[in-house]
Amino acid sequence: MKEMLAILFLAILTNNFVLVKFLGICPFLGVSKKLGTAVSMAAAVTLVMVMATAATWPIYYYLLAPNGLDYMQTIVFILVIAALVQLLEVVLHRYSSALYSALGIYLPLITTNCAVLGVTVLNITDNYTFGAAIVNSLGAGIGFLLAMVLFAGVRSRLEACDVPSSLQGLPITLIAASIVAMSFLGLGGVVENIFA
Amino acid sequence: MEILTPVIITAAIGLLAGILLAAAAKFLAVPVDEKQTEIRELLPGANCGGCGYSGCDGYAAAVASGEAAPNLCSPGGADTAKAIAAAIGAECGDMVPNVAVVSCHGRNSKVRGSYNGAASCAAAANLNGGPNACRYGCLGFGDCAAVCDNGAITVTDGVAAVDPAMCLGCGKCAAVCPRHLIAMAPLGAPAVLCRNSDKAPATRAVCTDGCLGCGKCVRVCPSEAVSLVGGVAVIDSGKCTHCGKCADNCPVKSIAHPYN
Repeated sequence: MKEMLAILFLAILTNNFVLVKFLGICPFLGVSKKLGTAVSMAAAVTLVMVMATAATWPIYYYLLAPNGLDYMQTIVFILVIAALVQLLEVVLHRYSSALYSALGIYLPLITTNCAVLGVTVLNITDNYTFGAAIVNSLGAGIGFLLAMVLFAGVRSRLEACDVPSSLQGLPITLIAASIVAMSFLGLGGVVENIFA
Repeated sequence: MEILTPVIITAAIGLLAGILLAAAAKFLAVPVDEKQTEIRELLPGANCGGCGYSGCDGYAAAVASGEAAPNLCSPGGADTAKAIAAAIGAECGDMVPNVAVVSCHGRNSKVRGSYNGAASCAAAANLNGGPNACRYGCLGFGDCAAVCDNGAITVTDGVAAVDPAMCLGCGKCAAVCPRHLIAMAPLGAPAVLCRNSDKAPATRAVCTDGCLGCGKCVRVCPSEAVSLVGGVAVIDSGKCTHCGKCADNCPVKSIAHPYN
């Protein structure tokens, strides 16, 4: 249990996918302008991360590894994740139109998201068990949510600032993102020592 | 022969995923109303959101399900409304295009101090109530003009001015104005061009054109469309017959036909 909690909080804070590992930067910069869309996007990413892990972990350990096809994992994972997200979209449209309209436009955007692919590959690289892999991807999704919410707040403050014209738009957004990322480096070692 | 195993396994996974998706698309498909497709093709496709729905697709779905009237599309105008009404077999009401109306004359408003910050209404409004003496008036930095896709708004003499011929009625400018001065109103209707809800002496001290809240318009209106809300006249566009008596009788010319 303690081990699982450690994995969860490591994924949320110390190894935050966006701010420490720099994965999933496009949605992080693209849809963090408003808090509402940022939360919807992060919810879709979290859902897909957990489902993608649940699908790719067995495929790797029961299909690829026994046949000596470890090197095929990237291409097979991309295929599986893309198909899974499309399937999820169809199922949501049919059975939960409220959730579908909330996540609707964000689901197709994350079929080829590197944070989703990243979490499935890292679960294999770090030799996690199935349970640990699910917890890790849940933590990665919550970490993504945390980064999106924090940065949406930063950006709404930026909107009202008098930014020099050479830095307007993306440059100042990237500078702000780097400062937020630096603040996350301060969390290094905290979780490890709490659960040690 | 070593290459066969990865090829077979990857192809098998791909085939399985393909079959699964095809089956899902067939058995879990959500039927789309034929009317919706038909209506969508009649719409101009500007996706401006002026109708109040998420875009042309959203509006088409709402019309097809009967929850929206066929005459809400401002960019399409009367022709589109007629075509949609014919498609769903309903009567279409009179199509009066909505245009943006800026509720401030502005030209006679006094200035309280000079402002040298960012040239943005949002920033100026946040700095101690803005540089104008009137806390309700147009700030004139043109946040609305910047957000207009059609170039319908220009800032003239420090006040935003809308060109009704260019305005699509999408309402983007109304959403961005920090003073909430812009509203969508039917073309040709009289409008209250002031939002100052202070008492008459205070209004008079900052602007010669401000609504004093005297209530003359309320009394002369034959269709009870005008009322005083918090000391400022408000016209209910649903009841207004565009007769213009309120505009003729307003002592400070706060009510006017904005585009005549």
